[in-house]
Amino acid sequence: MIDFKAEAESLREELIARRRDFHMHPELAFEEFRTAGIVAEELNKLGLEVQTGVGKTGVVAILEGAQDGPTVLVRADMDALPIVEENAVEYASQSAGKMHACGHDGHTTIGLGVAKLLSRHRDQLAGRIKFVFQPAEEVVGGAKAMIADGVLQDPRPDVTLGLHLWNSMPIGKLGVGDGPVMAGSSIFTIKLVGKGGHAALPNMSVDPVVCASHVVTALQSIVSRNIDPLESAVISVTRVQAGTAYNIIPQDAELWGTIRTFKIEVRDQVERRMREVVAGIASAMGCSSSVEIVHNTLPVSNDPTVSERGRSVLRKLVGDEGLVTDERTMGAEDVGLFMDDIPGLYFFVGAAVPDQTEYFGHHHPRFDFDENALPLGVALLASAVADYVLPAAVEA
Amino acid sequence: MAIDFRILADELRDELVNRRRDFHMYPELGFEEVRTSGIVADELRNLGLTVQTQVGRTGVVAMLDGQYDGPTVLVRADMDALPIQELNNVDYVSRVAGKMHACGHDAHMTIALGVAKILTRLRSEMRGRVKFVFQPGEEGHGGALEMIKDGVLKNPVPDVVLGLHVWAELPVGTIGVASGAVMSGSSVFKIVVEGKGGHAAMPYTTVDPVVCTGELILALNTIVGRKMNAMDGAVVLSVTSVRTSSDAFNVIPQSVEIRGTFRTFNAYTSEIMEQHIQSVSTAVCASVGCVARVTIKHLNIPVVNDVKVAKRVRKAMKQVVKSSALDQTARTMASEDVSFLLEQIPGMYFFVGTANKEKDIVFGHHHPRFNIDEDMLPLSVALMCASVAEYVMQVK
Repeated sequence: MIDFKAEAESLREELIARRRDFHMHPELAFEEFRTAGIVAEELNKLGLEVQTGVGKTGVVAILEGAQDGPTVLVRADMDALPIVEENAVEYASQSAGKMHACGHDGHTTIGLGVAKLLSRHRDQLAGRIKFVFQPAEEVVGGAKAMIADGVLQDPRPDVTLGLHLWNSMPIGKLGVGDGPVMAGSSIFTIKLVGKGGHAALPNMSVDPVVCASHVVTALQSIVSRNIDPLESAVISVTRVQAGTAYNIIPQDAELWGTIRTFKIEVRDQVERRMREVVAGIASAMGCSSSVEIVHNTLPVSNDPTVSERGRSVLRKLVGDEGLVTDERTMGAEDVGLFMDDIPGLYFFVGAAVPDQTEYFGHHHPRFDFDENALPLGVALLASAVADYVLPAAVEA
Repeated sequence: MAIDFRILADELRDELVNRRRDFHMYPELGFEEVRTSGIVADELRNLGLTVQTQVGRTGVVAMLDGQYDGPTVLVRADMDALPIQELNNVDYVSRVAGKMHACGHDAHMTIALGVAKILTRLRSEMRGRVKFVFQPGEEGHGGALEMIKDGVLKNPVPDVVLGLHVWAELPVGTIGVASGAVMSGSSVFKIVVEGKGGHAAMPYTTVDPVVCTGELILALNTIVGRKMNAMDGAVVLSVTSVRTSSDAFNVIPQSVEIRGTFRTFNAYTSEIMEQHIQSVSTAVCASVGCVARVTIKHLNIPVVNDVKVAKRVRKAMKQVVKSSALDQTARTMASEDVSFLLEQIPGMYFFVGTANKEKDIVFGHHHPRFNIDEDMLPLSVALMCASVAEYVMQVK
């Protein structure tokens, strides 16, 4: 039997140092050159067979067991966000306007920790582990790019495993539900075209700024007025851009944002209403409009068999009381694309910052997580993987 | 003997058109008018005028001294372009991406240089002097105040200030020559709507400043209709730019910044507007948990034409155009920092119509397709020459 908790604990300092290094040097989607370099170097050192440049900046490494057996895909994401960090910590981001504000620094660190821990037990390994360090999760496109480059082939995985640090849950709690646990997301771009002109002569122009404001507020009524209250949907306008000078009414205004739902039907209903609302308001205000919607990610859906098996292993580390089966989020993840093809489990690891007076969620400029989740995450993910490829080691 | 300025100006027609098109192709923004002011200074030197450069950073002042003593007339033209991407399909379209002479300053400079050329020829008969002032940074950059700071209204102190604006709201052939306040005073505002950023899929963990900004822009647009006394008339408010503090589709930004302008014809209306902008912003933001930071800057005072000067100029213009061409009612909500010159020295700022449906010249100032009917160039030169001559060419 392997004591994964103790083995992961022995890596604690290394894990924290590595996570802080990644945190200080965040890189945006498809620009994870430094990060991927460190990942590849570390995996090489462990003696894994490493492939770089998979899905642009992704890294794939195979840990081949001594005997044959199933293939487990372990997935970690590497990219940061375009956010200015506001944490006053010694490991704060050193790249202006970029920040690991979602915990991918932790995910990459945990992925490497699992590789290190399990490669020590290579001689007992029956099967293989495919470590997938994915770029560009935040803009979505990283999973798709890696799949296009064949990450789900040769060898084809039997199961996908991954985790997300979750700072809205306390440490020791895990979110391990069945079915859809993360929403599917779509990105929308709304363009409103008016008629530009002098800001002092609004009567001679068609103002797209006022029109855009009507659209932003009206979109909020879709969730409250059109969607079945028993269903889940979120519409957020996250970026507005209009105008260049104080004395020019701009020609157009653009709104960007995201739609999240757990069901495709609900998504389609939101999109239909969005098109109707935008067209109606634009027409009322004399603007022309266009709505472009890109379906970004599928809902992340845990396979009931895989998650049941996962729970039985994870329970040994956090106890029954640590397992939360109803934790779901409107957050999206392109890991859903792997899991759409290969059944899997994507679980949430509680990592709330202890004794925090105010909560700062994922993507907030003051996001952070409890670093105790690093060794715990390694132990959890390593045992979940071991359940498939190190059965002897798991049995007590 | 009356000089027929119309004939003299018509002789310059080709030169005026070419020069205006050259300026048009190479627009420069406020205080960056390096190429433009270089051409202006060269041309004035070639005419034999005493030229001073870098007055008010990139401004040019040139003195044309007459043979005999007499009054000093200041003729003012502005030089800067706007941050607009030109959409005209003409062979002299702006060669500079994102910059455009969309207000007619290219014509203003061209006309003033034409006036300088004609009046130079009449130097031997001139009683007094003409101070040609080519001003930078009219479009909200404070160019007039910079030039005043550098002494443009001293040494010698002008007796009268004359200037003109090409005007898209009047048909070509019509001249706006009202007395009193003809252009509004303008103020600019910046409102930062501070919320609490976070993940776009979890709006309940954030305070969304985007929806709040939508509501705020709509509320600001009710001030003119609901809060101002209709009898005070002539009030406008435009929100002209909106920017979220982050760019990602999945991040609810921490804040949104909006900018705009308001215009009134007198100081007390301006004060009331300012109070309402403050209170509406505070209240709308407070209602959803955001905080508004409002900054208001008063930019221009109203342009006021001196009654006596206006009367004299109208009389002079009748040598060039029929009295039916003179419109004594034209006023506009646009503003102009020529007002600061006119605040100290009595003067006349007139509008030369340039709209011409037959030539498809129908777009307003600051529109990406703004253009002028070039027939107005020689006409304007003649009008300005006659107006200046009224002061310095009077036969005793």
